Amino acid sequence: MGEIFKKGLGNRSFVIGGVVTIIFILIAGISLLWTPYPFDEMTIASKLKTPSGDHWLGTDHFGRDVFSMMMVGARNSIVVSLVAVSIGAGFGIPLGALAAARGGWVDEAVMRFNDFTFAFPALLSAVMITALAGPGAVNSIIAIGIFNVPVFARITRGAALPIWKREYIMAARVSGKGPVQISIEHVIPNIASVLIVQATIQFALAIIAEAGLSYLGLGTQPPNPSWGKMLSEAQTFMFLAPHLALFPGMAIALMVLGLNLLGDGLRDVLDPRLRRQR
Amino acid sequence: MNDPLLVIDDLYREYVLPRQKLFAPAPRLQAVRGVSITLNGAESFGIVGESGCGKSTLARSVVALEAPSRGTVSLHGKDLFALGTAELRGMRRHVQMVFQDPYGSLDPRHKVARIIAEPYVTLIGGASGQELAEIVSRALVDVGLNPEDADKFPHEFSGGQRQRIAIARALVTKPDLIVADEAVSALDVSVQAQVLNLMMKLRREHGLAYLFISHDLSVVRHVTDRVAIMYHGRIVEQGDTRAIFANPRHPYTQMLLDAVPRPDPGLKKPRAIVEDMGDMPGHGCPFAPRCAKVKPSCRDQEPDLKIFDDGRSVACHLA
Amino acid sequence: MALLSVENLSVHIGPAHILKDVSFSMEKGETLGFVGESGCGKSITAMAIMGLLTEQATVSGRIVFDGQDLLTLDDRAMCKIRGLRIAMVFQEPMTALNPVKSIGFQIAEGMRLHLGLGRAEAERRVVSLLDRVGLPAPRFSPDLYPHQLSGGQRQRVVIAMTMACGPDILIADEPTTALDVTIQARILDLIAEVVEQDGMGLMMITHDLGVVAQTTDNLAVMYAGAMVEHGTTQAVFSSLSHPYTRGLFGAMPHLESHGDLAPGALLPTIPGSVPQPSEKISGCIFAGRCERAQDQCKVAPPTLTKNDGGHQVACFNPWGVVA
Repeated sequence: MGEIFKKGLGNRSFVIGGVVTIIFILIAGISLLWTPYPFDEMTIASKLKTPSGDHWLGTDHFGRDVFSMMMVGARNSIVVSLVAVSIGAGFGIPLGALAAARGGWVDEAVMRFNDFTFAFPALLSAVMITALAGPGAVNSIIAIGIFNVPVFARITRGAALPIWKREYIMAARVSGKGPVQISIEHVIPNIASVLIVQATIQFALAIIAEAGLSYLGLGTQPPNPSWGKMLSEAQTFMFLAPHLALFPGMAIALMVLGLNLLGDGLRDVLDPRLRRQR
Repeated sequence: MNDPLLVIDDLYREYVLPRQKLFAPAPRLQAVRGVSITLNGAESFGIVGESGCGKSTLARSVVALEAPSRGTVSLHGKDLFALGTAELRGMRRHVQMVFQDPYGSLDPRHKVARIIAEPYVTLIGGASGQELAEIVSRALVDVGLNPEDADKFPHEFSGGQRQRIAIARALVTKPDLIVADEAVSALDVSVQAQVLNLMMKLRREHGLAYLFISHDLSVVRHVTDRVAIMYHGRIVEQGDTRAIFANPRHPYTQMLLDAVPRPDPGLKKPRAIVEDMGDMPGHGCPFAPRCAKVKPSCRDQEPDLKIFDDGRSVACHLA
Repeated sequence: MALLSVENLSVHIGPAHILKDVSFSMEKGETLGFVGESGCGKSITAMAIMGLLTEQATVSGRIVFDGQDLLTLDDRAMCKIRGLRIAMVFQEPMTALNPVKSIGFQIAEGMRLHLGLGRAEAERRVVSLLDRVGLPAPRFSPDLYPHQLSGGQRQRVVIAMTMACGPDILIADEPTTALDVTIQARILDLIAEVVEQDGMGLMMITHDLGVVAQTTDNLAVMYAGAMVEHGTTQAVFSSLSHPYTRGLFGAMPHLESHGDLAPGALLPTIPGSVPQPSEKISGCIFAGRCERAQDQCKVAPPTLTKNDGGHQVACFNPWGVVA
């Protein structure tokens, strides 16, 4: 662990991506305890103010403090994305591991399930699901989570298949271990780096998906702020108060960029280490 | 113990290859064709052959990793592939394997202690943490390593040391038979000598039997009592190791021996080596296209393994 | 003047001193073997000559080939040497060939690059080269792809590639280690034939004492980055002067009854293990494992000196010449 971290510090993508991601997570965390203003406090008198000493990022058309809304919005985005990706990984990784371990018809079944799910365009289907089942954070989580499952299943299976051919797996079989135990004790730890990198990518995609759903009014519901909703509300005020669209837009872009950089950096740091045999 | 330890009886193993044409039946590869071997306790038996001869497939059948298409593998009189899962697990403690690649046969993410203890924990179990630590310690000392090495990871060791760890792992369940599949082929000459010495020492101390699979004839000559030469899935010659190497009776065995370069610059033997060009005849002796002594009858019928009075078996019409 | 003269070649990668002050020379048409175990520096020597070392390596010394010091040449100049004047055969035939190019293309590549041949002429030569390496038409057409050939056949293609431009020196780095023993014999015969017919010098790098005994007239034994013995193959094998050479020879199991070593007896081994390249050792690099070590061996490393057998040993207390 320690040496990965040290190596990571030498990798620019890892450092920049890591710092950005941590900053957002910290902001989201702090929002549980404190925000400059209550995020839903409307002071119509101070509406549409540009950034100032009082309101660091200005106010919106209801006089709500943009910075406070952004902080809570960060928390909502991160929670939804985190849970959705966890659902995807929680179901997808075991499926993929099972497919690689058993082969045969089990493998075929998992692959066809994957193909089936991939056939549906993810974002549009998430829109459809939340539109039908009702908008809200929970349904967004489910909708995004469903489409993460085949991604993790496919990548787990792909990474696990060559591991099954390694001699230490044969040694474990000669020792009498069954495929489930081998998957858990030998296979997954050896493909963990691939899965971690994929998880950061999926996290970034989930942030975008959540923002998209909220933009359409299908995700996090008011009065809970979310970056996507802030964007859609800011459209009407594009020329009056462009800062209302600028800040949530930048936040989404930065967070995604940070996660992608982190994922790239992680891949560089983790993969060559596995190649080192001696 | 008078009953044989391991009996391989008429083993066949066929693989189905990927289809070449959509409506034709898938081609099949006969990796092992009718191999029979009897191994007694504490005996060292070598299997020699080049790539594609079926020796690795045979090894995997002996440790019950792959079920044969036909034939049986019996350990202590029990047919391994007729047993239920629990019973087979009970038998696994008697046969363990050492693999070729010292860098691939140990899980890079596990500590040495966990690696060595794995067969014991899975097949015997019931040991406390303390007892397990002692078992691992003793195994490490047995193979010439330090008990402190238990806490390290595989990448901290050299190739020869890793192979020792692999041997320690194979010993923890006190097996009667160890299958060594090219166990020293990837090691430097001096390291190979150390590991071979270790294996011979352990054999004497623990009464182990070895099934020693190798392409290296000089190693096999040194560490085995009997040897079987495999070609194209079959045994073509079998018998006492020293006798075979001094006086081979199958043309393929002779060709193998001629092919090995001797470390003696004064000895430049003219060699009649014919390369395998991949044209396998459908019938008759598979070695016929390369054989210097070939006769017309060789192409008609594949020779059976004939047993001679001196214990030698040869599969050749002209032996 | 020797065709190739290596003088005081040393290679460092970071703290590791992987090649220590190696010197030797090769005449035109000479067959020189480099034998040793992993980490002894034999492959590094070849890489240094070809200019294929990693960027992190620091190289000092001289590699004089046909009057030019190769270490002073930039990469463009080295490209004119590689393939044309010095060619190399590697260990892995499976990965030495580009899987998406036909074998004809790959054999012709060097000729078209270095000799500027047109397509028709190159094709003609490809067919003739394939024939020389034992892959005659019509069965083996230049349009075949590597995956259609076996390991031994691929290695023959690689040898055809090295011969294509008529180099002065062929470096063969473990060319048969990955091959079956009967195929190995045929490939070694082919290399010997090619080298003799074209008057090429051969650098045969291997860990196998049998291979080097059968394919070379001269021999250098390497240990932990240093050359410890150098002479004619005959002389080295009959005297086994350096304790490491003798230990290496003794540790091999033999096919014929050899001396007093009965099969089944313990093989005489060299105690200890090869030192890490980053270890700083004053004195002889082998002293820690040597049964003939004396006090002077720990002080300063011995250099290659001619012994009474007529070949060179880097040892203060070598074994005498044995009849």
